[in-house]
Amino acid sequence: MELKDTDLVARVIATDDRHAFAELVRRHQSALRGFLRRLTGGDTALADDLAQEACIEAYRSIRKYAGASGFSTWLLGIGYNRFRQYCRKRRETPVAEIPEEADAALPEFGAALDVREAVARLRGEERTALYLCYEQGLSHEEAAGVVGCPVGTLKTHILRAKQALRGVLAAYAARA
Amino acid sequence: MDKEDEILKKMLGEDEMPYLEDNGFTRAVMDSLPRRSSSTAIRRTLIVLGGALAGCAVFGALAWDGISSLAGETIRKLPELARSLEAGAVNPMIYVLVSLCTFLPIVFALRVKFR
Repeated sequence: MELKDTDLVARVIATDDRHAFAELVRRHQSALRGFLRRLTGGDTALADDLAQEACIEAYRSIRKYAGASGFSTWLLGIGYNRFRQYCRKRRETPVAEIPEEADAALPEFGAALDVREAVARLRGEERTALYLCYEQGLSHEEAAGVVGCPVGTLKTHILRAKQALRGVLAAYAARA
Repeated sequence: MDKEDEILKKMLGEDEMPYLEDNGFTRAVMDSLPRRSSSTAIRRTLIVLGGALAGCAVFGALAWDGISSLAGETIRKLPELARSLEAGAVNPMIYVLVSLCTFLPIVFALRVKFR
């Protein structure tokens, strides 16, 4: 029978079981690397480096994992912090420059609507909130835990993202 | 879930990141993990050595001093054991005791997690 994540974590904590930790990494590497690829705009090498650092940090601080959220959510949170540290080190803000019309709906892209491009134009926090909630399927509470902000703030990010994407959503709905 | 949510989920679902094969990622992470603390290894070694020395000491005390040693006195309280000792027979219990003194710390050292 396959062990649960919490059992594997318990083994790592109790006996420094590296096989158990390897199993945890194997299970969650795809979600973590995929999430970081989103954040880095598809830079696979950078995303994998950050993911590796996140896993090592997770190993070092695994005693802090309280089990309140899923291990995957906790790991994504570490990955997100790593990404923010990287941005700070590079003296870049983790969020894209806010376009002047950010609060307004994006112009419709017509038939050649590119969902990826539309989402890419969102602010960093909004894009991250969307990916966490709609792609990774996390609840608002879990997503807020990942990015380390209050649930209300996360909901605001999603609301703003929806407002910005309203035109795209309408065009998408009409096309579907 | 309102209509906008459904559309968003569908939109992002179409653009969903596929499952990423491991391709050596886990191996790379495991190779980069910090090595086990050397102090842990040293402590374990010391416990094993200490256990071995304690075993030798018990054996030596029994061999040198026979039943007059502390260990011998303790053992002599066990009538059957004492009879064997008085008769000069080498009691297998002594070897069991020495073995326990030696191997219990080894088992302890292997199982205990030092922090």
